[in-house]
Amino acid sequence: MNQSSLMNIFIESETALLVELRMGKGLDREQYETFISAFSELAGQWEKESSIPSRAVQPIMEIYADLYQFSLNYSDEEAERIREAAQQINKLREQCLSGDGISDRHQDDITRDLIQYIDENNGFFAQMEQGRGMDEEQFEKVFRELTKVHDEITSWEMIPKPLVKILISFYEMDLLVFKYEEAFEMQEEADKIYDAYERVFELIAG
Amino acid sequence: MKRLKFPYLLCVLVALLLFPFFQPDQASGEGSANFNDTVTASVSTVESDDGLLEPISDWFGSLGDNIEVALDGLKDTFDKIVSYIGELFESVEESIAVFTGGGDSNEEITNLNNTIDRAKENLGDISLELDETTVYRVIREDEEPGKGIFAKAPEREHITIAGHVNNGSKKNFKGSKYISTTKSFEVALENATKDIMNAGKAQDLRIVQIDLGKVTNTYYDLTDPKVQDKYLVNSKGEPWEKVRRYANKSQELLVEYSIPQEAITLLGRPSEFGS
Repeated sequence: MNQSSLMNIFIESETALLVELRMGKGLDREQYETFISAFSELAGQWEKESSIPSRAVQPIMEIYADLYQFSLNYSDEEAERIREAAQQINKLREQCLSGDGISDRHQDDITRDLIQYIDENNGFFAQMEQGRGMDEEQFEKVFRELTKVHDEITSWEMIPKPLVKILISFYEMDLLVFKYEEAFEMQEEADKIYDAYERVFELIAG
Repeated sequence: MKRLKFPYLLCVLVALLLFPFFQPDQASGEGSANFNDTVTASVSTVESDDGLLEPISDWFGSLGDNIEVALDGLKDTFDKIVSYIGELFESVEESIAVFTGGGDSNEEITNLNNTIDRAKENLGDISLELDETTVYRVIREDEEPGKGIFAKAPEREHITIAGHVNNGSKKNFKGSKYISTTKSFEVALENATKDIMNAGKAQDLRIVQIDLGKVTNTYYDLTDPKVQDKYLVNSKGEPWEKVRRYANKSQELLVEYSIPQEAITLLGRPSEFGS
């Protein structure tokens, strides 16, 4: 099967899986298996590439966070099944996005500042992961740069892997909100992260 | 003997009172093409008394020559309406019994799903004709439909329509200036009886009917392809298929900021439908 057909199956099964979960119907095993099968094959194909087709970026970016979010709407057993599925998909995603990145000089120029701003202060996302809160000043700097390069980025046919990882981290700020509310018990910080997430969401998702 | 007379008298009295209602709906008879129209009226009967009386008063206007044919047709339709409502209420009553039963949660969910499926079958049999100006909303306990319905977070202007749809069913969603409604009574019924954000836990929330003709703020029918092309797009401006499917599946229509009380008719809780 060619990559285009595989991608159609990948996107369609991801959508069907999430629609059923949103409607309270639980994890659709058939769609899940179809998704895993298509994604495994695609991940194998992309493993050695430095970038992935832009069409695949949105599903890859949202699948883990959406599955995790929906798992919270279900009872223990079903929630566990959904989280296991999310973990399985995450492993594939890591495999797919492994390896180094940017081989295109123009893309490198465009994304350099964004990557640099994120890496400052021991890493914007790393700091948040460790419970040190969100550096608002750093966020504004990163967000400005993301806004600046966004139109250019979205016009690319192929998206470099480091950039895909950044987009995933932005999209999954939503999950950090739970961590700050429940594990760190820092409600104010959770609210700040949620507000930042929403601003980024509008830019990178829709 | 005196005791027996009373029920008979009561029956005669009820028959006399009901007689005017058994007048023909359409003098031309009851072709299947007319059935959908009558069913739309039946949905209204679930919703309010006014909905029942309006079509009945119309019957008088269309009184024709062939009373017998028309009367048969009307009785047939009326029987179907009563049967449909009866089945629907029976299902809902059963579901309420399930809610309060002592079975394990999986069994309860299975039973509830069966009940909802049966209710859906009942709705499917009737082939509801959607009224383009009517939508439904399952309201929270803290909402007072008599005062109108208000968006959860009107100040959060930055939330896009796509964002509302994508994030609206997430636990940590803080709301937006949009009020979600559904064009489908079936979806409303399911949401009123089953909390899809809490393990499908049984519930019995109120459903309101909203007359879009009386809604003063802007609303967006998210099942309309033109509206989807404008608002349900991703950051690249391309169709956002996932969010479109969410909207289609829920038959979602969003209203901005508030819905005035004049536009709202309280239908009640599913458990009350049969009473």
